[in-house]
Amino acid sequence: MNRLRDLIIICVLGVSACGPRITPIGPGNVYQPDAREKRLWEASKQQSAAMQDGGAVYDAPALRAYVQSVLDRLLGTYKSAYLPLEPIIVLVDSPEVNAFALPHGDIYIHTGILGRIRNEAQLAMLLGHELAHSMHRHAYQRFEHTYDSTAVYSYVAVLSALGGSNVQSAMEGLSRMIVLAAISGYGRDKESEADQVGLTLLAQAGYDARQGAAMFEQMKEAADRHATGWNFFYSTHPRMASRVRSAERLVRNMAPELLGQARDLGQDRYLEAASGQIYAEVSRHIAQGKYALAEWTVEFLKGARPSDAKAFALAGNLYRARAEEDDHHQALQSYSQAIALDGNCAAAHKGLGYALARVGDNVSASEHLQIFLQLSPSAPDAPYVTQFIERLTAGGANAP
Amino acid sequence: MRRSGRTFLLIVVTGILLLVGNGCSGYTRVPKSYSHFWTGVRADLPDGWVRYNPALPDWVMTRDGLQLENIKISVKRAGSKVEGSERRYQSSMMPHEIAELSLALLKVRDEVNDLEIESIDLVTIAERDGYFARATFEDDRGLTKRLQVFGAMIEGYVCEFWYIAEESIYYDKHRKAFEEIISTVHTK
Repeated sequence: MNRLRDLIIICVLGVSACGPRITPIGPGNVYQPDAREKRLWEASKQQSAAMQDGGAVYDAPALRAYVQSVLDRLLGTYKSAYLPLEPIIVLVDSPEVNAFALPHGDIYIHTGILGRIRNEAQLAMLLGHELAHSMHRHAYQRFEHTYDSTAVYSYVAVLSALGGSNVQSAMEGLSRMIVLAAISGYGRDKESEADQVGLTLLAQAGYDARQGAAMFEQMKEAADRHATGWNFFYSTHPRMASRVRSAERLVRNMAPELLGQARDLGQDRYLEAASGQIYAEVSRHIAQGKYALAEWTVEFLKGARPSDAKAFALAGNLYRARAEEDDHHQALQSYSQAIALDGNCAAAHKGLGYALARVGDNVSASEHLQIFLQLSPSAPDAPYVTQFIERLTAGGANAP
Repeated sequence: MRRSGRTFLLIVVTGILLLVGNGCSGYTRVPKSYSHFWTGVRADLPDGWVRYNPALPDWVMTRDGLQLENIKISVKRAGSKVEGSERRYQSSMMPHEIAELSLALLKVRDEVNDLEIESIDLVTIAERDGYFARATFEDDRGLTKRLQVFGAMIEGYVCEFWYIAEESIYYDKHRKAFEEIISTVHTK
């Protein structure tokens, strides 16, 4: 009896799974969208335009062009094979660690996630993952699944009898809903598929595929240090630890020749283009008291760019704000190192001036704050610093 | 003993009910003056303004509407957690350290875009050293806002006075009311 029941379930599931296969967009496949997918793309384009008009776009042409160039490298020389998919990068000014792709291909990258990524190969993995959602038409698959498995089909049938405009508005509503759902991510199977495709694209483009797995590890590490859950673009994705393991397994199973020729990290290129985002991320974390996360990034910057005075000045800001045991000493050391690397690093002179004032070394504090004023005479806090120096000169220790 | 225990409980329950009730009433007319028990900070308040009670324990006041202009008086004890951060206020904070923290946290708020800090000055508030900053930003509705903020450490409490208003009309309209509050800030 149980066998008969199992057989019936298998047959029912089998029949329901036998829908038309949705082939990916890309080399070797002919893309033939039906009316429903065309409508979905139209809704997706409208949503994209509305979001860009809404003022969320981060206006940084050089950074956007750089991220776009990484995406173009993933698409390779056969860009036309992906038509009509012509993905463009849109940067969103937001500290959220997030990224998403719309059904018609536009990829939205929050500046917060750029602050967590460490090299171009990791960025390529992120873009490859998002590109895979569009290539594999995941939104359309969801649309079809929703259409088939819910009452929408029945409603449409009823509305068809009433008139064409009702059908159209029902389908447009569903399209909009699917586009919005694409922003919040997909289920585990689709995310896993996007990881796999992303890794392949990464390796084919000549990047070190191991960085694909490292990118997930990086996000997991950042989340662990944040210690407040999974509030980023993996929130609905498979749990991060298993995802890291899965990505590592995919890399291990990759063809040796593909893995062998894929070695580019692009760390210098990435830091050149996106260091501003990383600095902003550190400053944000300092203000929010996420010291472990800030320190982790600062240590990375100091290691990756040992001659970058800004990185050492940021380290000084971190220690000065945290103000735990030995932090004062570390702050003085970091600022001094920044100044040794670049005598014109205004932020380091200001930080050192304030740190010295705290221990009552008013003479040295004044000297460094004077240098800050010479280097940044029109800084917004120049009036404050000027008055602070006057207090230091006139007052006793630890003035004002 | 049991009787005094019951009386104490009654006072606590009544206090909670009053607080909750006050919080639920939305807006109430502001009194003539502001005073903070622990710091002794006092200031005159302008006529015709109303207090937005859900913002308790902060004093948030408005005349035409919170989105158009508001004045906020915030007093936080050293050692207490900083709103929007895992940091805690420290009693040894210098004015520029309070300013750095407050302005950095303003910058990361969702409803604040393109924050431009125009100036930061060292000033005296209630005979203590404090900071005074001016800035502009665009809110999440696309309105350009202008702000002034004074802050100082007073008797182990971080005291800040914020004035945020829509730039083109409301900022100048009520700036004087804010300046009058600031000019009367003192400790008893």
